[in-house]
Amino acid sequence: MNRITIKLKRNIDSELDLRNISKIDFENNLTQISKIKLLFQNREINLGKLFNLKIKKINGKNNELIVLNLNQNCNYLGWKWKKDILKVNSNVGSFLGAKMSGGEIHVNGSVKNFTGSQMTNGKILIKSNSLDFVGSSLPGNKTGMSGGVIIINGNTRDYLGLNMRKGLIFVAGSSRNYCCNNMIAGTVIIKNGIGKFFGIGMRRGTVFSHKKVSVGDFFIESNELHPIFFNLLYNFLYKNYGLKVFNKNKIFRRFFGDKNVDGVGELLITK
Amino acid sequence: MIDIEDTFAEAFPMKASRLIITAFNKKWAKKAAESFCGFATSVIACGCEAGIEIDLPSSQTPDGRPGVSVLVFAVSSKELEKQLVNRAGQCVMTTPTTAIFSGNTSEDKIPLGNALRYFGDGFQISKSLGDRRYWRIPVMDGEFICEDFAYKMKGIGGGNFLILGENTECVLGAAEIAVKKMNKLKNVILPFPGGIVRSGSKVGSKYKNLIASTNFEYCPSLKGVVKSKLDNNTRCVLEIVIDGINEEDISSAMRHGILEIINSKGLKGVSRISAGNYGGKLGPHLFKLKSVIS
Repeated sequence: MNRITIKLKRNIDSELDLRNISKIDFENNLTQISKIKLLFQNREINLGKLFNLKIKKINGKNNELIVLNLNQNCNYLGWKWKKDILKVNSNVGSFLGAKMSGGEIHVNGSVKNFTGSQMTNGKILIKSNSLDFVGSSLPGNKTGMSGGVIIINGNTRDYLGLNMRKGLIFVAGSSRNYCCNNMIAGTVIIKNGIGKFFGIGMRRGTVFSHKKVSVGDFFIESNELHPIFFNLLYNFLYKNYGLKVFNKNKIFRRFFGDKNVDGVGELLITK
Repeated sequence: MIDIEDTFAEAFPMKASRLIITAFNKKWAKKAAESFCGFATSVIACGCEAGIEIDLPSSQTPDGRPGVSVLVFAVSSKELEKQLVNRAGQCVMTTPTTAIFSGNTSEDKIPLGNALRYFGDGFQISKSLGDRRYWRIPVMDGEFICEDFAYKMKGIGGGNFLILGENTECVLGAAEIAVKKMNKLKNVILPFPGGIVRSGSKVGSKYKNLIASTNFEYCPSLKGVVKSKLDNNTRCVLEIVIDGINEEDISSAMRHGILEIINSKGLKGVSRISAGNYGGKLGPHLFKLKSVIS
């Protein structure tokens, strides 16, 4: 297996489109990596002109791409990422892991908007925060993420899980407004608070939260529940990501909505 | 001195699957498993052979509750699918607090929750975690959790040995000792009641509709009427049938069972250990008793 490390040579002060980095072929044509075309200041530029490149053989199951010294102007990293591991040691811009279908993306920093939008599989792990539209649909589209896992150890802002169809989003902190709007299915766990206008147009799907959520009158309180599924979820997150979600034997208050669209999405709030 | 007859057990390839049944406590997990494995002694008329493989502590089950691992064997994939769904639906889903998960993986899927979900009448919820998918079916005590698919694997059915002795008391005692030991082993089940069968069968019958009938050569009451394999001092024969995942598992189970009888102190009246076979013509898996215990 190969570990490819690319390090930015200069400060990026305007938008850098990194989507073609996903075209790196770890098995063949390693010499062509520096000729991959990136889009910087609306002009094509070879990767080799912006990044220093280092290739090393490693023992392991997966190839690794390590990207150093990016900033929030660097967008589309991990676009349509298919397999292998992508590691980022800094903050990164928008569209991280958008449309990805496999592999892992680890970010040791914060991310801007549209993280994991329309992803179908794979894992995104973010050490800090992410802004708007986590796991949502991309602009002009109606379908959000439909598989995979997004783990955010910080907070998120608005429109988390917009149009989400499947998959799992875990937020260790809180989320702001318009969370899980038009959600069709999937699982969202937000350990702390959720802002206003939660679950508008929600049809199905499950949202776990620790604190009281403002659901207005379009969610109906059902009953207290200790879902056995929560044990599975707890074990899954603990074994795979070392995360402890609430207490294992928690009892939840259960709400159904959005009743305006005859939705049966469920909101489970720890009791 | 117990004589080990120079013969062999003849076993057949089967389709198998492992399921894990969990519940609020061990008692209810076991009740569901026992119900699931009810009327599953022989493929001759039950459709499948099933049994409890092993009890599982909370730390070894998918949902962290006490559980039981069950093995199911059938002669065809179609029959295995049918039996799994019917038994999971009627015996496990009906038992309070239970959940059911697949206990093995393979390429060959058997719809489990995928078929049972319709009981939810539209209120069922599908959840995917990693590469596994579960169904949450609303029931009157909460939710029945059921994994989307069980998985088919190769198995072997019909490993066996016969215990021959002077009377019922001593032969039954010996069989119980062997069963106790064999029940601790993984990858095998003893599908008959208490692990022991008294009505060993042969293929065919004088009656057209029957595919199996009594193994008259080992029936003490027919001695003198038919060509018997019993000597004058043998008045009881019991059989232990073993289904397992592979040859090594069955061989190991037979060895443990037979050696437990041979080495059991104070066990009197058992004269011989034999095995049931069809002359080696039907089943591809042959377990020679002398090789098995060596």
